[in-house]
Amino acid sequence: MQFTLPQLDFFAIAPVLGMTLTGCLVMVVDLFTPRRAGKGHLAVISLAGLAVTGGLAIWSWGYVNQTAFGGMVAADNFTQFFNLLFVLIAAVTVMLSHTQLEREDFHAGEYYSLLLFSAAGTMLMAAATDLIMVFLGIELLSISLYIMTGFSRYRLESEEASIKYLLLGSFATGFLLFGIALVYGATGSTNLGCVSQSLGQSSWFANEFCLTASRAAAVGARSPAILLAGMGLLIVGLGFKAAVAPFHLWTPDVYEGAPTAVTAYMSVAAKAAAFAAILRVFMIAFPSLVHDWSGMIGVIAMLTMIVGNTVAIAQTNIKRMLAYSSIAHAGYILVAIVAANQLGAQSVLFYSLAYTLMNLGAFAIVIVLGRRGEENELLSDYAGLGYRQPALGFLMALFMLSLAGIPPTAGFVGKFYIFSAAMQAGQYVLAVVGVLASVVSVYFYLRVIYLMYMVEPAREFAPIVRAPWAMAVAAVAGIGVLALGLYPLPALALAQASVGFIG
Amino acid sequence: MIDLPILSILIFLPLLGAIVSLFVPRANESFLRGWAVTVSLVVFIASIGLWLGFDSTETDFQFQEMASWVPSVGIGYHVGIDGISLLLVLLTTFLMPLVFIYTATSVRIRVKEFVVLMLVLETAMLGTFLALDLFLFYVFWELMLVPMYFLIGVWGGARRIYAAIKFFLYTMAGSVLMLLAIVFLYFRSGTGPGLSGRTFDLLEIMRQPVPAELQPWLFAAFALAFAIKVPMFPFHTWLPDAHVEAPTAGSVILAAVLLKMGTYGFLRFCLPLFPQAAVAAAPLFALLAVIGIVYGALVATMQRDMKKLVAYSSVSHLGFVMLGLFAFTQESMQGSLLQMINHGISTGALFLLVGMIYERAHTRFIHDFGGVARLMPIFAAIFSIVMFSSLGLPGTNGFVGEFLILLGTFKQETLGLQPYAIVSGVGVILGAIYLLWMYQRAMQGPVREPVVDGHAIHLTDLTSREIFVLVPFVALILLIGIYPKPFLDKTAASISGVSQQLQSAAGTGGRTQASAR
Repeated sequence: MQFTLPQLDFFAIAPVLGMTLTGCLVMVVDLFTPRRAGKGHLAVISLAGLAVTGGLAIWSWGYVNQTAFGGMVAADNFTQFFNLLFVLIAAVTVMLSHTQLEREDFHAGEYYSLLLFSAAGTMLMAAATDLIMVFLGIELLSISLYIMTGFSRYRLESEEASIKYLLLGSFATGFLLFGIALVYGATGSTNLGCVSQSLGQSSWFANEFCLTASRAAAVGARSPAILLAGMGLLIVGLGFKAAVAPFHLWTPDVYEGAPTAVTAYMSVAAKAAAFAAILRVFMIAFPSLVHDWSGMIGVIAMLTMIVGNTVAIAQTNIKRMLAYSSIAHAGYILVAIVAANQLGAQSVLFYSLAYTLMNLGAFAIVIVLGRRGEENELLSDYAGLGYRQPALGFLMALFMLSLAGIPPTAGFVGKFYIFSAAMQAGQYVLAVVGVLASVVSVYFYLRVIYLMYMVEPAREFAPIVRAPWAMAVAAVAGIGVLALGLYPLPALALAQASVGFIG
Repeated sequence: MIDLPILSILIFLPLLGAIVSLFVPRANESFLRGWAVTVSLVVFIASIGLWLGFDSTETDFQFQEMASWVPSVGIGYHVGIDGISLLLVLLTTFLMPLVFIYTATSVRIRVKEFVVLMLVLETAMLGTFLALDLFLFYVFWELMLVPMYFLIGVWGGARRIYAAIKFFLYTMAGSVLMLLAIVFLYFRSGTGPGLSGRTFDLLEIMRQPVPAELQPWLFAAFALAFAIKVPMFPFHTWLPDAHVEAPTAGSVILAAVLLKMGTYGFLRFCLPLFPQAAVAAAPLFALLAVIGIVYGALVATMQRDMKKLVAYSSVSHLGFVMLGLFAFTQESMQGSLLQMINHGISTGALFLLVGMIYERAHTRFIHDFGGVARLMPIFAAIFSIVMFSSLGLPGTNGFVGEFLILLGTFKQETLGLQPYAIVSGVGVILGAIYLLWMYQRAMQGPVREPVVDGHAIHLTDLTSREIFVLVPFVALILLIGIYPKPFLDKTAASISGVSQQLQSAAGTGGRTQASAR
């Protein structure tokens, strides 16, 4: 299966290139579009570019042990799985944004370009096999997100959120860099394969790329404290991006302030990318230290699930509630990472897909219900929705049940796999805490449902603005949530085929 | 014998009916009601076929169907029926058309949603009773919560939202640990590396006995889920809220079928999978069951609200069922199974009767009524028959069930359960007290018409539709009471398998104790 590329490694990163070029194209086309003209065609161009990118990712499917640029990125199925996921997320976000941009009159050209660039960042994070590459991916993603968060310029909260995100995000990046430096200091490399080799783990990867295998275990053994500190700081930096407790404090404010489409995007793309990177870094570079990091991450996972689910109960704004719910879901995914086995890695991938569908679906409905100057973001604004808008109400109920993990939805199957992985790894405490936390979550997800179906609205609501693109997203996400719940086999097979790099 | 996948048809026909009714215009209520009755009647008729085709001598599961679902992780679609599930399936299919006919007058708002949810609920209930794959079972088990949550929350009484959420959270909290136990059994089910050979299939898992040292944990995880559902004392606090706030149709289904999922779970999963742990836990469960019997009866006696009284009487009755299950003898377990059905019939009918009088009077307080028997003679006559069944008068079904349970429990000498049988006999007397006292106060004595908002309400007797709904209940009460043989015959073979397994576990346990001394 060894596939030798010419010196030009660009084929290996074809999807990333596709994404980046689409971003550039949108920018250029925007330059030549008159100011007053509509921006709908930019969304169409973006979608077309995303389709091409997705095609490239499918075309690149099936290579094993394929790396490029001297071991900086891998082009294996894991990369392609996440490439496809990020293409899906970006496409959905474009559709949601189109609805929102039209309504709120943003300057669209920059927005779509930034979105596509940040998506390229997420793709790089999933592909990275070198800590420097992880860092670059995160920066590309984050800097775009800082700007996108502040895009609703007429809303003060949006700007506040942007600044807050920028300040805290930079701080977290500092931790990440420091962690990379410490790991480099302890092992003499930033390449994941070489790091693992210096810790006494040999792999095809290390043999190919690491210059001096002789530095070997001695280095790691000499400075375990530095290495552990570096690992810890990596967890801090990546954990911030994934919004896990106790590095989650920015999340509710930023999610609430950002334009809803951006919130939707952030809540799935940044998270999935961070988990892809965590999975790669810890499963390739530090498998021999699994007992050290699984303890650390296990504690964080428990804390994240408990904090996310309990604080979500107290929220009155749906975006804040979904923010805390997204924190809790990050906790579940961490459980799968702690399991550190094949099943765990598969369930990270499956859950990322399931979570993407249900969360984007929920946000799509939040967007459909909002209008300019009247966001309708309070939970009480959902009173009676199930009868005012039966289709929207049904879909929202479906997404809430899926987020709560009730069968037969994607969320249930996803949680089932995650906790199965934890059980297989013997992490019984973590599994018990996880399922009990998810019982707590049922309370606030069900609250949305009872508001929609069992409470009379306290005021009159203006009829919703037609939003065919966002409605389409919600409908497709709803079908996806049910399909993954009833027949998860194809998605599972895909996830299974994508985690070959884990032993 | 029959090549039709009859169990799958039973399970998914209601769902199909629900999907079809999604496309019926909301305004067309009479069609929706008719459609619901038709679908549930067809399901009932199909289940009669099941009864006729069922081989009573066979101990294995019948009408089995297997299909792969997620083969890569050993999840299959596997359904089958035995003597334990047969009667419960029939009870479910029997109740549904009657409930639909009854609700023609009582459910007036959001008829479409009601029909859809009830049909989905029927699919979930039948699926739970018929599933032989643990994953499949859990999916149906959880799925059941959703329509019930809506039924209580949308059509319920004043505190409906509180009751609906409490119901959902209690049941869910119990069952997630069962899910982990299921996953644990799954990982034990194969020997190879990875996931190869591992399965969620119940029959496969039963073939590999669980080591005694693991049993207590797994038993506890399963038992918690089922004990909450039954509900056993002290996990019963969700029940009065849910029963009282639910609409009549919801209360009937809740009491008649959903509670049986708990006792069914014990009989199907907990006892055969973890026999040693079950034997060890038997004194505790017998104690809790007896506490439930007496406590439920005492609290019922003190109720002023008829619906609450019936709700607490369920706690008491389910105590009998649990006592019978944990006595492990053939008689007691068969009695338990029969009593599950009896409770479904009599309590279902009681909830219907209370609902019928509530629709007329808009009050359920016993002290608002007096001499109802003179105003509503047919109502009072049916009420008294159902009441006698509920308190276990000979000649009614309740007597057969309770008698078998007490007899079987008394025979359980290895575990020494005789005292429990004696104390629970007191429960029978208490049961007579609260029901007869209520009957005396509300139905007899001087006529007192309930006054609501200053207006006296004139009570009228049952309509022909209501009588039509209640007659099948009365017929079954008398049929099972006078000639229970066909019902017991169907269950004997399957029960004896479980009973012998547990008796031998109890016997060996007792012997090792004796030899240790």
